[in-house]
Amino acid sequence: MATISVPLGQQGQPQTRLPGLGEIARWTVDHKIIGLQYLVTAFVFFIIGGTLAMMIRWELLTPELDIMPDGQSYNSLFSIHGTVMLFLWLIPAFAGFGNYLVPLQLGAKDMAFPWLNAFAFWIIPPAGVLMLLGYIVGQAEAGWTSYPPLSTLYSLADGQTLWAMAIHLLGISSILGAINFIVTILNMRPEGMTLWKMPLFCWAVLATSITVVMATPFLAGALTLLLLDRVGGTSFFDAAKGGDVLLWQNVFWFYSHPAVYIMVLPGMGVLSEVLSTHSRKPIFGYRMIALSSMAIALIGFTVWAHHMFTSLQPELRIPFMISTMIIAVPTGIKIFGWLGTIWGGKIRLTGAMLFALGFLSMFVIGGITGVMLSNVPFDYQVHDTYFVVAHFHFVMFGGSVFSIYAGLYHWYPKLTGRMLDETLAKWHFALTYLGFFFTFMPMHFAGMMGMPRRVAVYDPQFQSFNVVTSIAAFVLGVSTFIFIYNAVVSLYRGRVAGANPWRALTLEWATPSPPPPWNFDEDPVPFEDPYGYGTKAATAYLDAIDRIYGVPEPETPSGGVLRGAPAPSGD
Amino acid sequence: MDISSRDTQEQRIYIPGLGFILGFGAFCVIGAVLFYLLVSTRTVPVLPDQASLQSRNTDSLFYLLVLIGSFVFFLVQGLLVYSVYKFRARPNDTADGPNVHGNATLEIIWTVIPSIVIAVLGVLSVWVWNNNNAVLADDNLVNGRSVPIHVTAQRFAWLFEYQTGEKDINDKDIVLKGSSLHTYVGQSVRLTMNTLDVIHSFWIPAVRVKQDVIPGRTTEFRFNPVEMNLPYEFVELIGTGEDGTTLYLEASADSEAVFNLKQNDTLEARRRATDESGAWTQVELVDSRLAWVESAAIGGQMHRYRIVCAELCGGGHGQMFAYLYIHETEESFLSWYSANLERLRVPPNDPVELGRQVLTSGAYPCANCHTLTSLGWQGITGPNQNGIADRAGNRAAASGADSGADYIMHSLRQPQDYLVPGSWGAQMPAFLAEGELNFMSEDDLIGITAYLCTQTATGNPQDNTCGLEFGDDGALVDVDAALEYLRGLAAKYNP
Repeated sequence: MATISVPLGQQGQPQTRLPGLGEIARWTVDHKIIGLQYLVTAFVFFIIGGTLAMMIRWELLTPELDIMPDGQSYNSLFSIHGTVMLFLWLIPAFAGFGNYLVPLQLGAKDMAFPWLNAFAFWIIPPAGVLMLLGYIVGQAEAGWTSYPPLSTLYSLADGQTLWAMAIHLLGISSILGAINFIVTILNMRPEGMTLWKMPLFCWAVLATSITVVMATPFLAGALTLLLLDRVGGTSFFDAAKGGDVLLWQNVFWFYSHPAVYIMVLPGMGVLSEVLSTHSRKPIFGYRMIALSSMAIALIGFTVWAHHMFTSLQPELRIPFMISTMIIAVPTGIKIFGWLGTIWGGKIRLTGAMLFALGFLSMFVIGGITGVMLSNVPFDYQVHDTYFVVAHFHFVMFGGSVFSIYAGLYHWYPKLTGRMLDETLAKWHFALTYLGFFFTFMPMHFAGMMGMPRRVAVYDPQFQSFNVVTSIAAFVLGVSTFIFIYNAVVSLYRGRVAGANPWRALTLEWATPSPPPPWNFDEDPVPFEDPYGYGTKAATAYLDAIDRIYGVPEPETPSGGVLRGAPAPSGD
Repeated sequence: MDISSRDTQEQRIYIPGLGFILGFGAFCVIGAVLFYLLVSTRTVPVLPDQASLQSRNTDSLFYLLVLIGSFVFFLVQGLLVYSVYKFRARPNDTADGPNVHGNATLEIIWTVIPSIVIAVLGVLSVWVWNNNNAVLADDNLVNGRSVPIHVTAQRFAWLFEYQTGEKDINDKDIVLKGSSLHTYVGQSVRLTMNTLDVIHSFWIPAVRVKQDVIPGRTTEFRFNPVEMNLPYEFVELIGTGEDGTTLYLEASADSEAVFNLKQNDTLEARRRATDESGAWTQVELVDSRLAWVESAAIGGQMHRYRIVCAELCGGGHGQMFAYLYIHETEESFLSWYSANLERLRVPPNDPVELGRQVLTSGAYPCANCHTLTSLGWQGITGPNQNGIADRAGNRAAASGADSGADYIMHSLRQPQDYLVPGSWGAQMPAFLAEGELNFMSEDDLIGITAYLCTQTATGNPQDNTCGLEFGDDGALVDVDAALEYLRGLAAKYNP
């Protein structure tokens, strides 16, 4: 280990320069800037999708049509909300984390295919624009699942065609990115880092990428058939001409169920990093958590038809119920492993940790309702109702979005060289957690009592559920802006982070923040165990990093940021 | 390298004592049992009434899921909250936690126990599923005979057809069509379902069963209504006698004073009150108007539940619902069934009266999409039918139709040919002159056309510009001439 000394916390300025807006907005092959491009783009679409969600909740305040002129307009609201949130927010956001972190965690200088990496990103903005252009030609209104014949013979506006083309492009981007991740992870690990010593985030990205490469071509196939039916005069989905509408459901869900894991496995990787680091304790059952990611990814390919319990041949329903239930086992292993991780540790309730704990407590509810849904007789009651809407928001928001926030709070210092304000983080967490819970919990009951999903006009008996949900949703919407404010202001006024503010052992912290374009000044030596907290060797390793790259700017006694104070006498 | 300042690690993990394990276990069990009791005793009703055998079976499974699920909930949330409380780093404590990497025994436990639980759940689910699908008696028994019931889904309505197996006076099969599903406690119901357009999903929340209706396939739906020990809120009103039964509407600004239920017409209404003698009953009609009616007109009592569409089917998806009426007994069901059968056995010669019967009985699912105030229709996804007779007459010339009547007929047989201004596309399926699905007999076509020709803006049929002549009494001047004229028009649309 080198022994260059750097003055303790160079107050006021991070050691390296943050890339300017001009550098972020142009073509580059630097994986870190591409990672930022992904994250910023995804967050913009998160705001767009969130705005649509707010309009949905406003419309649902009363059982009649209010702000929407007719049912079709409402249908395109939730169609685009769902599509944007899944394909333009969750997937690109995790691709952003993957791009930024995987090479750093592996001690590499870049991804295996830097040009391909940039190309995969630059497909996304035009695809997003293409989808939003649908508003000019008559937006898609068949839901994010776009079941034919509603999406073919009965959607005459061209928005549906643009929708399919946009998803096609996003699928290409996804596949290219995934191939890049697999090659990078399998080939570019530093000396001494076997697969079993790899950070769990890399394991999660590996499992996700394998799923993407296996599943996404099926989405492409389904979309091609849909496009041919819409513009090519074929009749794959036209029963009157010998087509079959269930063909779409089977092929679409053969992608889209694994896609659920594509959207949550990287979040689970983030969670492993955050929980271990912020409770200062090794991951409990590292191998089991790594293997359960793989198990979820693989078993995830055998469960697609549980989305079709009310349309599938009856005799096929039971096998898919069984395979779906089996997924609960590896998921349970993860949850208990994480509980084991924080048990007995030294828990620090930072913003990252709060969102990680929030993930645990909300995701488990999504898991419980998932097992409920897998039971065919109960699914008959709640299939395509608000119960399902609640279930997948507990998984996709309570799980994935919470983990994205945890990741943003955890790695913001690495990305920018500055710390986020922890007081605002606590406010952000409190409002998001409560807003989220009271938005989606009442939906379970509305669904069980008989409210189908995707309706603008509903039975007045469900109004009280919907009013609670809408008000909580508005709180949830507002809470996002606390984070945006924090992220923007901290860029200029945040405490200087130093290289390793959380004293974490993975390699991305063994270089200045933000890392220089070449990532590491010299070949980094990974610590023998990425989660080996609580040993003298780990402490020595972390102390050495602090000595080389400096420590975070100290907090002032009032908790604010020390401004203009003289540098303490370092070495 | 001086690291003594941080060299104060605890090297042993905190292992809870037996007291904690028992206490925490008890907390989880008590919490789970509490949730189970709240839900299974329906103290907190989270599911609708149990109107079928299927709902009882499914609910028992659900209660078990609540028990297991809330145990997991309390276990995880409890451990989470306790850990945060117990293991939160104290201020200025910079030490790390113990270097513990796992525990094989624990990991095996939390793999094996969930596996066993889901295995048991899987077996129970299959058992409930088999029970729910079991055929307990002959299908759809009415007077000891099976009457096939067919459901047709279309945007945005459900249509129910009872293949009665009877013949009318013209020796045609009587098909009892309606916009509501009637059944009775103890009947073993089997529905066959088709769709005219997109995928729909037939769901009765109170029955706990849902089945998609898929283009190109016929799907099946089974359920067994059961006694619930709940008051029967709804009654079947049946018009009796030559002059029918009179409903006396309670005064309100925009309602007529009386409403005549013609002989063998049926009407479902909510029972509100009975007078002291019991001879009169106050009822609430579907459009919320209150009326008094002789109790003798009540043919039976029943429960009412919503049937909804659960699969996105387009702009009117939320408005696509129908009612399920579960009659108290087979006799109550038969009062409805027989009255309708009797009405259908002798079709009226007057096409206007036939059209009125066809439209009010819900034989065609117009009401879900169209508004026609005289019949109480309140649909909003299709063009408004108030004053249709005037508009049809006005548009006839421009559209090349012979007359307003021709325009209406054309719009029923080939709705996609005319787009009403402001409408974005014809969603109405064509009503065909032959075939099984969406069949509309020539008589019905003529009847509906004749009835719609009376719907002028002024309310006086004499003002119509459809091509039919009405007298001062509001009836056709010459029924036979009108029929001949309308038959001539209808012939154009035969295949």
